[in-house]
Amino acid sequence: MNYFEAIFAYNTLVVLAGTMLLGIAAGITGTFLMLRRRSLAGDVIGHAALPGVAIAFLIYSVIAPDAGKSLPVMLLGGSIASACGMLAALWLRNVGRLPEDAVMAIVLSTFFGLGVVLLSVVQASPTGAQAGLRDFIFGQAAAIRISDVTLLATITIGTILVSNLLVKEWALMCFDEGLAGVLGYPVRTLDFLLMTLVVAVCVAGMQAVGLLLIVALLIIPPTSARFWSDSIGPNIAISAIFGAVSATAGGIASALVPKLSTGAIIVVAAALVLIFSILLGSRHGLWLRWRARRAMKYEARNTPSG
Amino acid sequence: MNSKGSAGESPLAAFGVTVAYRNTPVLTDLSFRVPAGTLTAIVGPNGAGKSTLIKTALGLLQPLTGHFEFFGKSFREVDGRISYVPQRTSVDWDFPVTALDVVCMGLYRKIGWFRPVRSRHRKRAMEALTEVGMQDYAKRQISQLSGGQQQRVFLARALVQDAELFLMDEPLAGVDVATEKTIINTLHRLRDQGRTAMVVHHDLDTVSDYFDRVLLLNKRVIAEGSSDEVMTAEHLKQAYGGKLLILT
Repeated sequence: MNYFEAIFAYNTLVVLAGTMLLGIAAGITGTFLMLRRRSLAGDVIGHAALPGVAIAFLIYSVIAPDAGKSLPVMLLGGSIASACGMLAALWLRNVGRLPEDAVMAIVLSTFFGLGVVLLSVVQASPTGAQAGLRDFIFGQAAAIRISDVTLLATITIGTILVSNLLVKEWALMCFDEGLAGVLGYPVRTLDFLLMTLVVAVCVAGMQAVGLLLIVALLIIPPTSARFWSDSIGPNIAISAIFGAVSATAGGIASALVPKLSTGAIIVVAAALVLIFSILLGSRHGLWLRWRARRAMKYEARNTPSG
Repeated sequence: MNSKGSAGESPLAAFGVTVAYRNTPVLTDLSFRVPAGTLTAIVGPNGAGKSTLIKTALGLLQPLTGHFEFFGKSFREVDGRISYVPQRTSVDWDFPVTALDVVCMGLYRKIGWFRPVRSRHRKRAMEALTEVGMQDYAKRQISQLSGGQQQRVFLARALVQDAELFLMDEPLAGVDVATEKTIINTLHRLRDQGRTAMVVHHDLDTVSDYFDRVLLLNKRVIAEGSSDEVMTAEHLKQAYGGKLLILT
């Protein structure tokens, strides 16, 4: 089978569709996360999911010993643990005396550490169904099935709909919470909705990208998009495209080289897009600065000084 | 511009408000009433709780005890009648919006949930930008504006809200002379329309020229009343202690 056939095989198409949908959803959601200056929150949500996944696996293997592992159950566990991680971070911040970045680092490493401990327990269990559980950490896009694509499509369509409806309200909340409050917007509810969406995208992406690196898919595409436009609408659209391109690149690599860690490839692809944007972005790219400086130099040289 | 605050009820009144960050009191037992149709300066040394006062009034911080009333009602019942201009430094100026986009934000409530900004809203925002002399900068991303220009954009945003009470946190900090003049003239015009403004102000020399009334603050109300009554050497000494050496 040559590469061309490999890419268009049914399984591969499923994987590509899944990663592309994930990239779109992450690109859109990540734009608001970046504008809200909550990039690290995505990292907390990703890492904090691990103990939830492990606990869900353990509970499920007790309840239904012969059923193997259930993806929805583990994703549910991950979501709950992620939410707990966010709440723990909020609580620690309100306690005071702890800088916000320290709070984030503490919560994400503690939850992740706990997750690794629980994974060791799972690994020692006799069921044998734990095979592949470690894929949640680094991601394995090749494991995406058509049912997962349905889930990802639902989340992506939901993301597109909600962010279209709430683009102006979310943008206002991100830019000026005070004004949002004065205008009578329920800031807490809006914030909660956004974070719920972030959790949904993180958890849905765990299988393909892995919980260690999902934050990259949330943050790198919107950061890249920022070099191409100064308006919110285009930023969201460009970020979605960059997310889709990076994720699809990872999907293709995963299909061609089965042992490859998909999440890592996706992140590297996203980083390449970022470098490209930093250099050539049509709004803030470095080449624009370089060109402007050269023009200034030229003008200065050709202006008679006396 | 049509609505005016009705005479009887105070646009903003505080009733025994105490605010604490963790276990340090920032404002203690604050009570005051702002009469409708006046310009009040909130004056006090650094750390006196000026911004805290505004943030608590707007529900961004929770008071330990006491409450605020807007037009005799709670904050939640009066949305749309209050306008807020935050400290310029509290905003991310790299945000991907233009000056016009920012002014349009003041109209979001009128536009309504889920609905996009339409050309008639942009037209209204453009009028407000023209009022503050910023019409030529409408399409600029906001980081490409000077401090004074950014403050004018905020003023234009406050204007489109067509509010009755304006709360402003240091709108004159670090702005150029022309902007200062624009802001003060605009405030005077709003007052002449019967509207009310409370402005955090740091320049003691100009307080009496610009404002009718002063709320002198240092963790509690030191003095409140007309500018002449409040801005006395005795009061200022109480508020600023030894930190203020030169009095005019």
